[in-house]
Formats: sequence, C-alpha cells, structure tokens
Amino acid sequence: MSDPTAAAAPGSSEARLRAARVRAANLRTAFVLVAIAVTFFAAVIASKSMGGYAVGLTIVGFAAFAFIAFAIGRNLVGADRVE
Amino acid sequence: MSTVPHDQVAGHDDHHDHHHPSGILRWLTTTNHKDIGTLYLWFSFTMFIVGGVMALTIRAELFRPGLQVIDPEFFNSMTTLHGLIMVFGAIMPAAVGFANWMIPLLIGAPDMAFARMNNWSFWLLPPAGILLMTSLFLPGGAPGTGWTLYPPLSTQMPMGMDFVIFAVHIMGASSIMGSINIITTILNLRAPGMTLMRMPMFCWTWLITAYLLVAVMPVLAGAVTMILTDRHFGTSFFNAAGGGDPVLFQHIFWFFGHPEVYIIILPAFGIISQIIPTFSRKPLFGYASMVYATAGIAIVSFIVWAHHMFTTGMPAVGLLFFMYATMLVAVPTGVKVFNWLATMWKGSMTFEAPMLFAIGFLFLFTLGGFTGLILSISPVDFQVHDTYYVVAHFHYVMVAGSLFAFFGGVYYWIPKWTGTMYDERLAQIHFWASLVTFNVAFFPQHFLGLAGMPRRIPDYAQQFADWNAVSSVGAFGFGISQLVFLWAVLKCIRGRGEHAPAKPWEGADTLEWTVPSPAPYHTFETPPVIK
Repeated sequence: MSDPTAAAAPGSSEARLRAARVRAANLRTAFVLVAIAVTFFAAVIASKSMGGYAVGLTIVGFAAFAFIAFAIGRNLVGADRVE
Repeated sequence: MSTVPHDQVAGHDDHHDHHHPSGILRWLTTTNHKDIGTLYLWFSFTMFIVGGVMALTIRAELFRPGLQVIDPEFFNSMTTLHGLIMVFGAIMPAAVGFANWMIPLLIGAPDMAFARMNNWSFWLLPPAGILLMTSLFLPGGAPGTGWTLYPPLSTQMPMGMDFVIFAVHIMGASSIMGSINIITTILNLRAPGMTLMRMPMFCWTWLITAYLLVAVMPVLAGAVTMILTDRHFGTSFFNAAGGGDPVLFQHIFWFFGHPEVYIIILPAFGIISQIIPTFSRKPLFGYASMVYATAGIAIVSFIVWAHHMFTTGMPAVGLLFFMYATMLVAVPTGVKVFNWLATMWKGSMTFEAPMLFAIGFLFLFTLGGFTGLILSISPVDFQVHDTYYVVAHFHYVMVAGSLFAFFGGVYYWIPKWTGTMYDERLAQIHFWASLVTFNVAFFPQHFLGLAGMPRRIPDYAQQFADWNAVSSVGAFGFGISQLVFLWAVLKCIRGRGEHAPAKPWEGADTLEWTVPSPAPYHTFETPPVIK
C-alpha cells in the first residue's frame, strides 16, 4: 500500500480519499482475479465442446501460464512502483 | 524486522469491542478476520473428525481379510467421502483459517480486504459439508468413485453423485472467494514499509497458493459441470458411447489435482518457515531463495499432472516429459528443506511443541517427498500404480506434511489467539503419540503396496493380513491421539493455563507479537510503520 493512513488524521478528507483509493485498488485486483476464474471455467468447457484433445490441453495450458504471468507481473510492477 | 511502536500495543482498540454482537449472531454475521479464522479452524477440525471416523471405518474393515464390518458399496462410499472431506473440508479450510487469523496480523492490516465476502466464503462451507454427508442417506448411497470422481463411474452413479458435484461447486466458489480476498489483502493492505520481500514467509506461501487456487479451482468446477451435463443433459464429454473420452476427465481433473497437492502443502511450508526460525533463534536462511523456490514449485505444478496417469497409456515422449518434469519439483523442494536445516544449523534451538511438530514435519514430509520421487519414475509407477504404496506416499505428504504443520501452527499461535499458554506436557504427548502412531499406520502400507495390494478394496489376500492389522492399530492410535490435541486446545480456550504475554516466544520477530495476547478484536487500525 502506498499511502499509509497513519499519516492522515482519522476522519480527515485526506484519510477518506486514501481509503477510497485503497477500496478502488482492492476492487481492481478482485476483478482481475475473478476474470481469471471465469475464463478458466468457461474455457475448459468451451475447449472440450469445440476443440479436440490436444486443442483443449493447449488452450488450458497456455491460459494458465498467460494468466499467472500477467497477474503476478502486473501486481509486482504495481507494488514496486508504490513502495 | 523492527516496527515503530504505537498505541496499538497498549490495546487501544478496546473501545471497539462493544460494537460486535454476541452469541450465535456474532458468528453468523461477523466480518472480523479473527472470528472468521476461528470459524474456519473449528469447521476444519469438525470435518477432520468426521473424515477421521470414516478412515477408521475403512481401517476397521481392513483389519482382517474378508468382509466383516461393512459391505463393499459402503466401503467405496467411505473412501470417496473420506478423501473429499479431508481435502476440501479439513485441510484446505484449516489453511484458510490460519490465513484469516494471521495474514492481517503478519502484514499489519486491520482486516481482510473484503470483509463481507470473507463471511460469505466461510458460510458457504457448512452447506457444502452437509450436502456431502447427505449423499450417504440418499437412495443408492454416496458415490463410490473415489475422490477423483472418474467417469464412467461418476456418470453412472445414483443421485448422491449430484449432491457431491454441487458440494464441490460450492466449496470451489468458497475457495476462489477466499483466495481473491487473500491476494487482495496481501497486495493492497500491507503496512507502510512492508515490501513484498520483507513479508513473513507464511504470507508469501499463501499469496502463491491463492494464485494456484484461482487458476485451478475453476478447472475442477468445469470438469464436474461436464459430468453433470453428461449425467442429465445428454452431452457426451466423457461418454465413449457418444464420442466422448473418459480419459479426458482425468487430464482435466489432474490439471486441478496436482496443483491441489501444492495448495495443501504450501501454506504448511509457510507455517514451518515461521516456526523454525523462532525456535532456532535465527533469521530464516535464504529468504529470497525460499520465495523463488515456492514460486518455482507452483509453476512446475502446472506441468506435471499426467504423472497420475502413466498407466492410462501415453506416448513415450509424454511419459518422459512428465517423468522429468515431476523430478524437477524435487529441486525447489530440496532448496526449502536445505534452508530449513540451515536455519537450524548452529541455532540456539529449543524443542517446544511447535518446533517438535516442525521437525516431525521435516522428517516425514521429506520421506513422503522421496516416495513421490520414486513414483515419478514411470517404469516404477507402472508397478505400484493404484497400490497401497501410493496411499502411503500421499498420506506422508498430507498428514505428516500438512497436518503436522497445522498442529505446529496451532501450538505456535494459540497463545496469541486465546491469551493462554497451552499445556506443554499435553502437547508433547500429542506430538509423540501422533508421530509413533502415524508411522505405525502408514509405514507398513509401503510394504503392502510393494507386495501388490491394490487400494480401494474392502477385502484382500491372506498374505497382506499382518501389515494390515498393524496399520489398523496405528490408525486407531492416531485417531485417539487427536483427542489429546482437542483437550489441549479446549484448556487454552477456557483459560486453564498460564497467561500468555504479548510475545511468548523469545525468538519471534513478526508483527503479530507486537499486539497483546489475546489479540484485541480490532488490530492495526492505525498501520504500524516497518523500519
């Protein structure tokens, strides 16, 4: 977290602004993670409905790496920027 | 790690305590991470007892050759529910319970990022547990597919199977919500100055575990959804008669199932990484390499799933790839074991119960890891696949691995949770009884497996009788040993013991020990600053 609320007096507008910023960051993170979960759920069924054996495995395997690399990378970059 | 002291230490949050309701309403409506952590831990222990009773039913039947206690269908239901309950109902919720209680305290956050969702995540679990148990009382009984739910059995089982599928969906949703909460909390709510690379290892292992969960639980949900549509909506995903492929389910299941093994063990690694430095009175050796090793284990876990399926038939290239990839897991795991040993090396070690469980974990988990390495060699796996050797292997990893670490974690943090020191004598009895009886129960199963005894059978040839009798005696002993644990925990909860100081362990240096014991209802509302 970049903005320690310790620096702002409780109840002050600065503290409220910082709290709102944290809430927005929380929601953004959650949406990314929900997207991963939903995509995996839908993709595994879709790939089995439409694709063959190898296609399905390739999609799931690629998606696993792509999503994890994206999610970890994004958050690590974000964390480095604010610390 | 040093912190700037502030009024938190004096327990300035007491004025908040009158805000939360009491009685049953407190537990139903709570959004407090400590309450929810407690709920998870009690739910987990309850399911541990239920799953344990099922295990003892299995071992009672296997005490002697022949059928004497239960019929074969019920035996299959017991093996299925025992596996599902222990994995999804006991071990995973226990790990989430530790996460809920400790992650905010370890990173200096006031609570989890999504407090209401946290409540919902937990309260989804009891209905799922009830659904699992209810399947026993339906016409046809609970499914006898084993926890792996393989088709064609799972597409042909009576309606108990639908209950199990629904339960898996609910538990999966709960796990995903819990993981989202944990990741968000760790990434966004750390105290100022607590960079990612200064976090306690328990937080790192849980961060990586949560990513694994988000990636693989939907895959399991997709797989069981396809079973559901095969059963009721005329699809043929896994029905060979309709052009489907039952083996395809195995691929999907183990794409979830193998990372699941690490989902179960990584939080345990985290707990061990907190305990060993504390009781060695040294910082954790090779912190950065521990982080990278944990991430390495998680990444490799995605490319090893087919080692569970060597005998289904696959090209030699596939066999070789999955064999070598599986062996690769030993490298980061070896790094971790080396670092724990190096942490202990020349440390001022003392052997209180948490440390005993950590050392027990280290010894027995490594043994389970070695048998895993043996199983990864495909020609060997061909010989012992679906035998008791495999059963012995994964119980060394899951029971002596995860469960021992969780016991160690409870003894380590219970002074902070209850404000009372646990009874060291009871805890030592619990440890030694568990250690001995666990090995009596499971070590002989290696011999049984190597001699060719198949798993998931209620009856067996006379030649396996002696070691089965020994194993059953050990299993009952292990079950009884856990009553000592319950006694020790209840004594703490009832305040029967020494009052715990804020920091009962001399070598502990993480943030949770800066707040009073028991931890106030609200902590770190003003974040501490980490220097």
